[in-house]
Amino acid sequence: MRRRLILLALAFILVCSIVGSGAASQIGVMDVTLEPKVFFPHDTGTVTVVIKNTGTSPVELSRINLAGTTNIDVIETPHYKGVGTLGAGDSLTTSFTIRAGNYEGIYYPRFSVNFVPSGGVIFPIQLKVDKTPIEAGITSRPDIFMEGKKDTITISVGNPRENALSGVAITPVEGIADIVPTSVFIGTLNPGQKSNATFSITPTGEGVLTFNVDYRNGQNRHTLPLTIPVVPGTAKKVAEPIVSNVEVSSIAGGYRITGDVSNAGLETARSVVMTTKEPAEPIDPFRVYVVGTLDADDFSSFEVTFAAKDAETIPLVTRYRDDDGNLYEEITHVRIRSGMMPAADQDGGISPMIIGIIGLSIVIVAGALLYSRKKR
Amino acid sequence: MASNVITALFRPDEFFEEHANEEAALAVPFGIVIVYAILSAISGYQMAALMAPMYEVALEGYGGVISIFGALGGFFGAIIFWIIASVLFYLLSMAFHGEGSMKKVLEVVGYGMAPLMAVVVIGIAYLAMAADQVVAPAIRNIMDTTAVEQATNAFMKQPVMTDFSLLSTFLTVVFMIWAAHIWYYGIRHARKLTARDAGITVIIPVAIYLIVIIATYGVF
Repeated sequence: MRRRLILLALAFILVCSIVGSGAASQIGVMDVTLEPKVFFPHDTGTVTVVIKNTGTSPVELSRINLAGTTNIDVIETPHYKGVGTLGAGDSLTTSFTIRAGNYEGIYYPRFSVNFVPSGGVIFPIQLKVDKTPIEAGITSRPDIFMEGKKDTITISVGNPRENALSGVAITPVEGIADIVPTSVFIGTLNPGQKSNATFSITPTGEGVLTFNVDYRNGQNRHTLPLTIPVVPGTAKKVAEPIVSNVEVSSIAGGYRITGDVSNAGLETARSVVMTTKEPAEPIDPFRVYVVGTLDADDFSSFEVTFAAKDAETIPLVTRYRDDDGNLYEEITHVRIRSGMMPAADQDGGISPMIIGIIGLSIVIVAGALLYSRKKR
Repeated sequence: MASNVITALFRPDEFFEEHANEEAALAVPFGIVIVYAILSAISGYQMAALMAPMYEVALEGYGGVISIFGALGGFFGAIIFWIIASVLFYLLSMAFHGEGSMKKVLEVVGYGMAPLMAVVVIGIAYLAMAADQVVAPAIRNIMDTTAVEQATNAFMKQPVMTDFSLLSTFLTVVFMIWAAHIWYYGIRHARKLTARDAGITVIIPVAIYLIVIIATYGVF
């Protein structure tokens, strides 16, 4: 009797084994989806697995599970115990929330399905962790920033990763410059793709200008700061009006300055205007002389009229604008010729030559008179 | 002729005493006056040419005309000066019962103008040297008398012109004394006057003239 019981138990185990191995051969992993496809360290994402009963008879599932690894933590597992029966030809989609650890590498968290009464399937899922960030750089910028002068810079962003990055946007941090636009949205960058963004910058001071390149990997937000030092200085390519051939003459009630203004710079000076400022007081007819546009190496004559009292030099003002409308002012100090000053204001007295001529004349006349009175 | 002029300049008493009873010979005095008038014309042209730019805006293209008028003014001014001075001396000497003819007075005054040529020559030379320092203020409206006056004042008050005015005034005074000295002896002998009467005859117009000249310079 005892021997028969043992044989019965062995037969039961054998049947169950046969049943279990049959279920395992019927259940297959049809699809695995990772979101994101490649993780950054500390990224959170999902693993979605689709299993299907490819057999002709239903299979009763007892448990579905995803086991993490040393660098992959499964942080959310739906309740997949006592799942039920998966009918012949039916599919089942399961998802798990995972988080990558601190290290780069390729990891294999294990997906498993257990059957009733026994048996199961284990399927390792390949998962990459890569910390290569988005590439961002400034591809064009002015050699030298000038305070108050609008310049443009171009920022290029590229995706060196194996997966697409979404929601890429470049946002400048306000502070030391007026920047337009306030943000540029690029969108999705596929692997190997790049895109450019152009900003107009008008520096208001000295400091560091920061652009934040924001993007998402799956649901994870990342930011790459990009900095440019802004030190306002004198640009190499600017208009440079030079005043020359200056002549000062007096007119009724004041003075007149005539001369030439030349553009010795490399850029066009626009709306060039000549005038004078305190202590000079511009007077008609040429309070202001509008020269207009001066191209590089071009020149124009000008004439300004002004009144000035008790001044030996007066500031001659050259105002002009660049192509962006920024206003510049150059001052040339012009000496009012001593010959132009009223005699009463002159120091130095009578010139020696005058004294000499007068003295000699007196001597000659006195000699002539004395000689004429001399008796023969 | 030259010896006559030199004698008249340095020995006027002897010269006019010798010629007192002769007929008036106007050739040499007239020559002196003409030379003086030509020099005055050059001086007038020079001054007008320096001032012409003042009218460049208001009277564009008339610079040459202004200069010619300056020259004509200088030339005829010198001749008129000769005639007026002669007439004044003649009339004043009449008060002292002068006897000589008007021609004799013209002759005397003509000789007496010889020293005045030095004033004009020195003035021309000085302005020629200093011309590049002269700046002419522009007059935009010739009808604006205030502007014209201001511009003229500004022109005359620039250092080179104040120096010229000073030089011209001093030289006029100095050489006019020499001229008056010649005129004194000339009038005395030509009009047969006493020393006192001849002195009064010459001194009064010359003194008035010099006062006007000095006053114009701005001393008073």
